[in-house]
Amino acid sequence: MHTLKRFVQNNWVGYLFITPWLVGLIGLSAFPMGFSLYLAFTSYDLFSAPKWIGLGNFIEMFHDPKYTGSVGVTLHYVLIAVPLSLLFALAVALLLNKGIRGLRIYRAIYYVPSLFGGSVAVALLWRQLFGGEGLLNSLLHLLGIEGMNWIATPGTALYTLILLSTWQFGSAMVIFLAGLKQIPHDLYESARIDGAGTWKQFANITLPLLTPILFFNLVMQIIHAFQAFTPAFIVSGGTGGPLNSTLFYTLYLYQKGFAQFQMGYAAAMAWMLLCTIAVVTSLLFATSRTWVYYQE
Amino acid sequence: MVNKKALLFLPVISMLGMAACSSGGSGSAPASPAAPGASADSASGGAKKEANISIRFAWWGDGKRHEKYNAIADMYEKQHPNVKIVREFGSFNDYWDKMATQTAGGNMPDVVGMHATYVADYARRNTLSDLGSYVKDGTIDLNSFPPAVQEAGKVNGKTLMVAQGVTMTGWEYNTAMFDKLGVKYPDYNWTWDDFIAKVLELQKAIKDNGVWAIADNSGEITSLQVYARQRGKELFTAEGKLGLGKEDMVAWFSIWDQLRKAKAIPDAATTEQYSTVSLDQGLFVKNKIALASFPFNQIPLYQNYIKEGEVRALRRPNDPKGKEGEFVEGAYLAVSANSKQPKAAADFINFFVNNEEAQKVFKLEQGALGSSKGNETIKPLLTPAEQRTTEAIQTSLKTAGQLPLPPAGQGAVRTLLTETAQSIAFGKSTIDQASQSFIDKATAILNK
Repeated sequence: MHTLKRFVQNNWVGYLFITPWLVGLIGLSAFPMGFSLYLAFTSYDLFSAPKWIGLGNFIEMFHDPKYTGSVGVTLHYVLIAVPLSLLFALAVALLLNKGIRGLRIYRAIYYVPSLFGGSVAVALLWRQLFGGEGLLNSLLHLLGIEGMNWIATPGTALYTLILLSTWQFGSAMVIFLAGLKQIPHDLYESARIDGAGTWKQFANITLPLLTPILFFNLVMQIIHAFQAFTPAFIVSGGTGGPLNSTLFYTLYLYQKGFAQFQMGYAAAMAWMLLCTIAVVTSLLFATSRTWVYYQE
Repeated sequence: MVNKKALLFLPVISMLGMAACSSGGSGSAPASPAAPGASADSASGGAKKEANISIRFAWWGDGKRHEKYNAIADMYEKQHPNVKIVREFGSFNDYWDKMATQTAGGNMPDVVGMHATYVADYARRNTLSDLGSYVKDGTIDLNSFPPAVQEAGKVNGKTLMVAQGVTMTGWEYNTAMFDKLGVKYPDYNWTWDDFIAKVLELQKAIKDNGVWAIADNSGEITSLQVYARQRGKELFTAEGKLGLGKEDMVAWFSIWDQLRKAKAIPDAATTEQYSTVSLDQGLFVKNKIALASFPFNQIPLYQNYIKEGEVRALRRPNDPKGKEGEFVEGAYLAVSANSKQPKAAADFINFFVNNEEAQKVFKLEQGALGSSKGNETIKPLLTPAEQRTTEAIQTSLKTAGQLPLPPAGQGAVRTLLTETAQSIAFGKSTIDQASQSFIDKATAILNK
């Protein structure tokens, strides 16, 4: 009681200043999240009142082949797109770090896709590029290869989306570049004097000292990849692609909520996604102790 | 010191006060109407005609169609200077997505375009106004609407929508393409045997890769509904259950499989890619297919984009041993249940369907006009393409029946059919497997 009074006395002005933001936090974030958690246990078609059904949505989810399919598609996407992105980001960052002329220009060029890559316009363009008579097929035709319809064939549709995601490696690359610049040069010099070749230098100096940055990029990219929606929606026309091969988790959530009016189910899906991302992130943090090296 | 701290209260309180005032009235479920409508609150309830009101009007279509709707809205505004019509429009698919979200948010536009396949959903949720009182007191004059057309606008005996136009779907072809291939035009009343023979004949004549005789219609629900009726059954029975059995689905898919094996329909990937594009980007306009299926009222629209040749209509292939399968389709106008100016909305609808000038602008955009008087008015104004449209519609109306109201879950069945057809097209399942799976899943959906 004593400390509470003192706390209020010392801090009430500060809280007063952030009242607008607090109102936003409670009204636009906390309350909707709480309500959505409530909805996850109800059956709610938007027009009539929510009906409590307990774990009904969650049970239905695990028996729903489209649900498990969407989980599969999303996992497939995350497990391929994220490592590829990071690989390209690191490779290009290493190249740019060699101190070439026009570094700023190259950095900008590689960074720009990540700025608007997730937009509707680019997704529409992507659809055209990889369509039956798209640019890619025209180029292949020049080489004498008969291209197929990349975005409308079940086997390849997802890979066009993975390609789109990988193309946006720029933001991770910029962060890697910053990390590379932080590595002290004398480390490399002493290693060279000791006779270490390029690969040994990379494996024993660059990589270990980059692990904090790598960890950061990994976590951010994974969280982002789990939430991918716009490209899947646009490229597949909102349908989830040929034979549900691009039915991302978030896309299925959208269909369930806004096309089929099953908001309770959609809310349940949303919370499942949140928990999954939380679990994955905590696992990453837990294992990070073994491979991330923070130099103090 | 106390004074200084007290002074801090002022801006905070005033800010909170302003925030509270601007969002006032949004606590209850129907959200406050969009800003232009806010002024309507002061005009409701016995206000003089001088008060400014605005009604929101939403429709679906393509660029050319939007021009017509806008023109009619402009006409109404000129006649009623105190009314402002706020317009919203989009393509057919986007329109329904947006409508669903708006309705859920209590934000449905006052006057909405409505369709027979969606009206059951909206009516079931009590989101449409009962227009019966407006019909009775003459605000909406349906005296020149044939009884069948008036009936089509009723759900459970209540008039919920008024016909903008009545139409039917059939097959259409481009004369230029047929001439180039040296194939004779099909007969308006063709049978399924004629259909298959003509398609195969076309495919033999086609030499280019990437051009096919006909669109892949296996996943299209209205085609299946007509096919079911020809066999004396209904896809959705009046009780809302599945009326077809596995043999029916096998028969249906087998027709398209035969054509697929003859390479007369586009491959699965092409069909999939073109399934969500707009009219002017589709296979028919690009001369990649010789036969396409769409409602007759869209013939003038397609003719707009097709410069070479005439777009002509054909009935759906019929079964000489079976029944007539076609049913009346059309587009309608409805008033939302949460509209703040239902009378003004009803008045606008009446203007839209009965005003002579409006009729002359709209013509056959959504099919033959609901009003017989209107059809007479526009007859001298029809272009050749539009005349072909009316002929086709009037002819087919003679044999068309009425479809039972689609049940809840019909949207899910529609998606299921597309996916099942795709699964066969991509070779992921056999016809037998797919038919069984369709029956099982559809039954589960409709029994929920």
